Amino acid sequence: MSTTALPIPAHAGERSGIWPLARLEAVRYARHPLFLVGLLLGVLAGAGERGPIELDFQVIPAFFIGVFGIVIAARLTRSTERSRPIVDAAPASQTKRTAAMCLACAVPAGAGLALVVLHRTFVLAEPFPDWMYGTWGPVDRFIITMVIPVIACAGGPLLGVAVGRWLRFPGASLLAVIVVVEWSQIASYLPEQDLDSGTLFARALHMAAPYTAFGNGSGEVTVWVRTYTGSPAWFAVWTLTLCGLAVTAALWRGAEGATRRIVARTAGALAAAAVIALVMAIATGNDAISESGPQGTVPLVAVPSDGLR
Amino acid sequence: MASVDWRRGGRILRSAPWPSLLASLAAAALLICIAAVAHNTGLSPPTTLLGLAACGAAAAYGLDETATSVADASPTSRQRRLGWRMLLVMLPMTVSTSGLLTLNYLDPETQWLRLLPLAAGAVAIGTGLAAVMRHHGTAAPGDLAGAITLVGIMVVVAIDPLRRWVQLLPFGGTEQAARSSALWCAVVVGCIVVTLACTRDPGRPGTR
Repeated sequence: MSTTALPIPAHAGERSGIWPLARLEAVRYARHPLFLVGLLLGVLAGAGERGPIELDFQVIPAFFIGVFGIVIAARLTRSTERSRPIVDAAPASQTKRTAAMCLACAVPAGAGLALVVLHRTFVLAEPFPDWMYGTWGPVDRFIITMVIPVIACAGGPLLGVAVGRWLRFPGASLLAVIVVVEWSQIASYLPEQDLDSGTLFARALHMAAPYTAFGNGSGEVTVWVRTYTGSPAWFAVWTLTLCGLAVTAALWRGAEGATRRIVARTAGALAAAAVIALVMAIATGNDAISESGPQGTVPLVAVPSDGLR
Repeated sequence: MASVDWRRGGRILRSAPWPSLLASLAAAALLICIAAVAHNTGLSPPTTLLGLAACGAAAAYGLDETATSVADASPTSRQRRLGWRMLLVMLPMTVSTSGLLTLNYLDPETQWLRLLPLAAGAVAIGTGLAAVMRHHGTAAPGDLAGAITLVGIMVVVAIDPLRRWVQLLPFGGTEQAARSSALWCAVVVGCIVVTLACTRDPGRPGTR
């Protein structure tokens, strides 16, 4: 009589089990009232050519999908804590549940993409004059208007997952929103503040944020557009690495053994990539702000302290 | 009798979610401090607005009562508990008022005190929203109500949907500021009415 050792199929099941879980979390995310409200407001603000100037349109999806997403994802992640004894008894580990939640962040990313495409159709129907894009070339314009907003829409919810996994006190998501909004607010319009925007320090502060602006325009009727410093392409890479770091931070909680080692190595690699991307975003691209109008473009030496002309 | 009342009030206040309330108040105070430090820059108005919205969010925690079902069975009515909890609402109002006074002292030209009705409106919205959510069965609505208040106020003021008739940020001419103040006062009154309507005891009319 002989014995035959068969491989345990649990491993395969473990791997494939993440997709049904991710689908479940994606449906929960898509049905969240705050997501639907944010999406509706985003559509209202994006359908047409109202609101901020084209270079700054990215703020609409970034706020309505990305910032709202911090609260939604943190709440959804924490919602399973209440039934932890039952959830822990289920065959899905905490790491797998977190990974499923991270995959569900494809919903806000998809919504962000739909929002920018919707806005683009309006812009294509009635294109803006070339000077309204400042000094940015076609590739930079594409990255500013189509890529960076989608990354922001995914990044906010991914940060929310990390916040939900690590910070258990009530109000944690609120604090995360305040920190992200204020940090981005300071960095984004730094060239409009009482600071020489051409200095390395100012350029570094302008880029070292989860969200930044690449231009600004005058009031309700745009008569001039100010182009800010930095490289949009490298900024996109920087924010993408921040998304990756948020995922690894979320996965780190509860990870054990080999998974923990993989997560740690990935986080290390992503941190290195983030530093390189940030340095490149600061060092390349526009090195000084300039102002464009129908008459042409002029470099701006200093901006008045109130940010107004 | 009065001492019993004070003791009961003290217990009601002690049961409030102090860590969340103080953390959000600290964040609001920090934001207003940043605005005060950068008072001559374009950063100051949006940061102040964020600080005032954070005060409104902090006020939402004032009605959190994780053991509502137990408290509802006690002889202390919801109105009475709300009355004591209203003392907590004074904290965000104090932070926003002192912040605006400081800003007005540093930069009198901007007339920061015109934002006082907006600050009161933010606190009232936070409290009103928390009261509505409590009425619909959420024992500790502060977290969600606070987030909605913070984001909602920023969105509404940024979009300014009524700008054809009234600007939500009461800067500019005197007439504009008066209209804006009147609007925010109406918001405060509306929120007070909603809060009172939502704190009736469930099926127990006439309790003390």
